Amino acid sequence: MNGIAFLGCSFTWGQGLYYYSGLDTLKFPKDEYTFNQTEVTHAQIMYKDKFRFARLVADEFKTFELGKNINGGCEDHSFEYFDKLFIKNFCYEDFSYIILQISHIFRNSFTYEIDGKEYKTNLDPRHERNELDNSFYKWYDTNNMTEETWKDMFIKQQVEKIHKKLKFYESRGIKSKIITWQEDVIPYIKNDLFLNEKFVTLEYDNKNFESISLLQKQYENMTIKYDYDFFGENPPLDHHPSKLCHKVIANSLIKNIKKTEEHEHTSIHTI
Amino acid sequence: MKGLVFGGCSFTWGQGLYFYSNLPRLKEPEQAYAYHDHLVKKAHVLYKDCIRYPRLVANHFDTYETFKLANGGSEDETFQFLDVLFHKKDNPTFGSHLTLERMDYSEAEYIIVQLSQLWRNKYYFEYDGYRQSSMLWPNSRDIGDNQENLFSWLIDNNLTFEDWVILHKDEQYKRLKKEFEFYESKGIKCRFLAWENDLLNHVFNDEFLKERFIPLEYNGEKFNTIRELQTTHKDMSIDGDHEYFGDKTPADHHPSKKCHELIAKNIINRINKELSK
Repeated sequence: MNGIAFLGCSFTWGQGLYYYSGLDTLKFPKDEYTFNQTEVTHAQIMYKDKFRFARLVADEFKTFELGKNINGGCEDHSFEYFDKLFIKNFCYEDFSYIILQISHIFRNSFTYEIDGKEYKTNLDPRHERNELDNSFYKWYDTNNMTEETWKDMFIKQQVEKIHKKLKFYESRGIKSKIITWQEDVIPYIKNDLFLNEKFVTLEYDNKNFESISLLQKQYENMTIKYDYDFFGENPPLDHHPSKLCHKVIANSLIKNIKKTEEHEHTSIHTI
Repeated sequence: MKGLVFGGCSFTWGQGLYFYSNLPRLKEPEQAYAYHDHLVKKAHVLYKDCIRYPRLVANHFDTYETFKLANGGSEDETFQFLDVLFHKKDNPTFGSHLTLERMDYSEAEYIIVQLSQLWRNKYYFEYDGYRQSSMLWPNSRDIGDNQENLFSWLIDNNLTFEDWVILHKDEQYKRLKKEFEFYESKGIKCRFLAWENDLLNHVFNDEFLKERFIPLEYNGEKFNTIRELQTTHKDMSIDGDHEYFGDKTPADHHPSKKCHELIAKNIINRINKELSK
């Protein structure tokens, strides 16, 4: 198998996994939402790279993994990063798979139209309006948007973007798999035949979970800050997937990819 | 286990291992020793990182590994790399051709050095009022770097070329020991293996180095150098790996995938033995 690209947010980057290293250089966070890259040493980065699901999957298929060096992000940023790889350094045939981990969907930009002109925004109507004269609010109010209708439009837009991107890369021979952190996007993926085929659920304890968040809700040791099994009474304040959670994600992806490969192999031989 | 730091030349870098991939754009060098950076694409580099012996050893011990970025090199470059890695925290771009990583002593468990060819290292001498260096190969017909001044220095000091060979080996032996003693004093265990036998006489006469040396065992035979192993077992070189490539093997004399696996196995066995004590 050729390379596997892993596109996602801090969950894919492996934030917090370095707490499992026991290295003397570890600095524990003040709170779970602060991330200070300068406090994470290169050795800690190498450690988390080794135990994040991306490496675990790549190791299984004896190939390399590639993901953003920068922590965090959303699908818009992930595809911006991936698209640019092919300008100079890589060719499509270098990759066999894209694994897309959908993050918090509302981190992406929203496109709206006023008088036939398209605008993009990252403003969230659920938050306080700080930029009162922004055209987004005019559009929102004029079109009698509610939180629900806006959310629906937003997710539909985003799912359509993902569909287009993955379809493009599939046409270039790169297969794809999708996992999601949160649930709001799931019904939309299921409504899309193409994306639904690529959707991977997470298997643990003979149960299936449609999102990382659902897995984390049911099993506290799937989150670093509740991983008492490993850390004892005082786990680090970090809400990211635990080492075990990365393993569960990796195992689910491995199983699913193997199934796809077997299916393709059988199809080729049947022909 | 904490991290593993590897030192070495193209043999450790994993030159040629990308020929084992199914990646596109693979191009053979015009001769087995050549390396052209522009022919080796990023995906090829990422692939060989996955199957070279440093990753195999690190995976076995469930830990991470690091090695310098640039292909090739010598002990001069290996110890420069370690210096940048451990001592240039305040200068993040220094030695960027070697590494952009920085480590604390406490973050490394082992340094494992693969000795390359001794003559790739510079010999330093004082001549014409300043300290200069020379690099030349005793058996090569090529003119070495700064050979003229070195020869003048030999004449001035009443030394023969053979004396210089002894001096150079002695310098390299002392440097290896000094560097290892330094890192061991910082709590990092140092081990090494060898491609060539240039320094082995010194090594076997020195208890400190002897007990840190890792010979290679294969099929009940013991090899002190990768060279010896490759001479006896042709499939330990990429260009001799007919089992994998068939009749036409890539023109590359570097360790084969099997050879990397064997080196990894020997390092793993050695560390396991030490851990069980």
